[in-house]
Amino acid sequence: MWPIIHKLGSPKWFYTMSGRWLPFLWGIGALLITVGSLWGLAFAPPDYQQGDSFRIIYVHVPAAIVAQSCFAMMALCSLIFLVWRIKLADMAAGAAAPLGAAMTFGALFSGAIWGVPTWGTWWVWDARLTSMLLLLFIYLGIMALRGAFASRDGGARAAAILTLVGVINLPIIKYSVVWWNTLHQGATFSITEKPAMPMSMWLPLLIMVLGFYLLFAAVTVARTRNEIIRRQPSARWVRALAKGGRHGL
Amino acid sequence: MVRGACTLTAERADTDRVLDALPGLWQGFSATLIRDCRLRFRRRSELANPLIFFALVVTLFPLGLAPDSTLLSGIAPGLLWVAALLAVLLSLDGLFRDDFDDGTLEQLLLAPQPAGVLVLAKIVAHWLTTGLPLALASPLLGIMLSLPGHSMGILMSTLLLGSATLSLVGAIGAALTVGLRRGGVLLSLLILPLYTPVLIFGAGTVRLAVEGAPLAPWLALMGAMLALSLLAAPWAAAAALKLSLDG
Amino acid sequence: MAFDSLADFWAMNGYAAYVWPAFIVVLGALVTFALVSVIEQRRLLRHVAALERREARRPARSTTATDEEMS
Repeated sequence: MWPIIHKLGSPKWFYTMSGRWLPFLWGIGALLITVGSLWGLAFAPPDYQQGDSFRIIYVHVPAAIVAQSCFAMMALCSLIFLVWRIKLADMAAGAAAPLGAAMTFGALFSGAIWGVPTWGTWWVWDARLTSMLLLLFIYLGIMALRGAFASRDGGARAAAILTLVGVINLPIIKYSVVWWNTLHQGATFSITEKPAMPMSMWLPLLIMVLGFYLLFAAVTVARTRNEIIRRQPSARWVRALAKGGRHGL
Repeated sequence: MVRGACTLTAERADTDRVLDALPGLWQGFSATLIRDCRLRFRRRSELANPLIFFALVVTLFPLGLAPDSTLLSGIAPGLLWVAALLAVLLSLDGLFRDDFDDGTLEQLLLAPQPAGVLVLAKIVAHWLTTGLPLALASPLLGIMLSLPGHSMGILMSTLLLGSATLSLVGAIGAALTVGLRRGGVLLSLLILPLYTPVLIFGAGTVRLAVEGAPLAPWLALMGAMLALSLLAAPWAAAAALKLSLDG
Repeated sequence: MAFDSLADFWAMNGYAAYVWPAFIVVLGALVTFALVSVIEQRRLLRHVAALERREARRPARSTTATDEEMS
C-alpha cells in the first residue's frame, strides 16, 4: 500500500507515466467529441416537442456532469493532500479547478440559452440551474482563496479545507434548493424528466459524456504536468527533459 | 516484559500527573468563552454594530420598494433573514482578527486542550453577541414590516437556530481569511454560497408559519444543520487557523 | 441525417441562434483549455532549457539544492 502511494505521489513517476497515457487521452477524447457532436447535431432525430433546440443537450449535460465530477475529484485530492501531504494531489486539485469552473459556466450558459426556446426566458430559478450557479460561486471562491495566499503551501491547504467543506455542503445546498423550488413554484420546469430517450438520441449523448470525461482528464493531467515543471524547474530530471526536447505531448 | 509494563505504568502515571495539573476541557472552554464575552462587552459600540446594520438594512427596503404593508409582509420573512445573514457576515471578520493580530491565537492553539473546543468557545461568544441579539430584536423589525403576529415566535426561533449555524460555518471562512490582508470581500465570496441552505430553510420556515403550515419537520432540519455544523465546523476552523498562523 | 441540406443544418430549423452559441461556448472552453495547456508546456520547457543554459555559463552555483522538496 505505502510504496504504491509514494510512487504515485512522486512527480517524476507521474510525469513519466502520464506522458505515455496522455496522447491516448487527447486522441480518443477529441475523437469521441467530434463523433458525438456530428452525430448529435446532424444525425440524431429532432425532439418531437422541442425540435432541433434539444440538441443543446449534447453539450449541456456533459458539461454539467463533468463540472460535478470535477468537484468530487478535487475533494478526493484535497483529502489525500491534507491527510498524506502528497503535493501531487494538491497540484491535481489546483489544475482541475479552473476547468471545473469553466464547465459549470458552460452548463449554465447553455442552460440559459436552452431556456429561451423551451421556457421562453433566459433564466428560471430552477433547482438545477440555481444549484449549478452556487457551485460556480464555490469554484470561484476556492480559486480566489488559493490565489490570495502569499505562500503556496498556505494557499494549497486553505483551498483543500474549503473544498472539503464545500463537498459536505453541496448535497445540503442541492437538497435545500430543491425544497425551496417546490415551495415557491407550483409546477417546476424540468429538463431531465422527458419521455425515455430513444437510442438514436441517447447514444450520441453517451459518447459526448465519455469524450468530455476523457478531455477533462487529459487537460487536468496536462495542467498538473505543467505545475510540476513550474514548481520544480531545477530538478535534474526536469532539466534533462528540457534538454532532450522530448516534450511528450 | 514485566519491566516494560512497569515503565509503561510509570509513564502513564507521569502523564496523568501532568494532565491533572492542567486545566481540563471544560475549564479551557469556559475560560475562553468568558474572556471573549468580556472583551466583546468592553467594546459596546462594536457590540451594537450588527444590530444597527440589521435595522438599517430592513429600513432601506420599504424605502426602496414601497410603503405597502401587504407587499412588505409578503417579503418580510426573506428580507429579515437576508438582513440578519448579512449582519452576521459583517461581524465575522472580527471573529479571530484581534486575537490573530496580537498573538493570542497562537497561544490559544498551543494550549493543551484540543483546538476545536477552544475555537468552539470563541464561536459561542460570537453567537452570544451577534446572533442572539439579532434574533431577540427581530420581532421588533417584523412588526415594522407588518409580519403577522403569530409568526413572530417562529421568526425568533429560526433565527436563534440559524444564526448559530451561520456563526459556526462562518468561523471556517473567517479562519481561512484571517491571515490575509484584504480578507473581507473574499470572506463573503467563500461563505455566502455555504449560507444558502440556512437562508432557504430559515426564511422558508417563517413563510410557512405565516401561512399556518405545520413546521416541526423544518425546524428539525434546521436543528440537524446546526448539529452537523456543531460537529464539523470547530475542527475545520481550527485546522484553518493553524494554516493561517503558519502561512 | 436529420436535415435535407447543409443550409438546413446551419439553420437548425430556426434554432440556430440557440444551438450554435451553446456548442461554441462549451466546446470552445474545452478546446481553449487543451490548447493553452499544451502551449504552456512548451513554454515552460523552453524556459527551463534557458535556465539550464544560463546556469551552465556560471557553473559554480547549484540550484538543485534549493529545490522544493517534493513528496
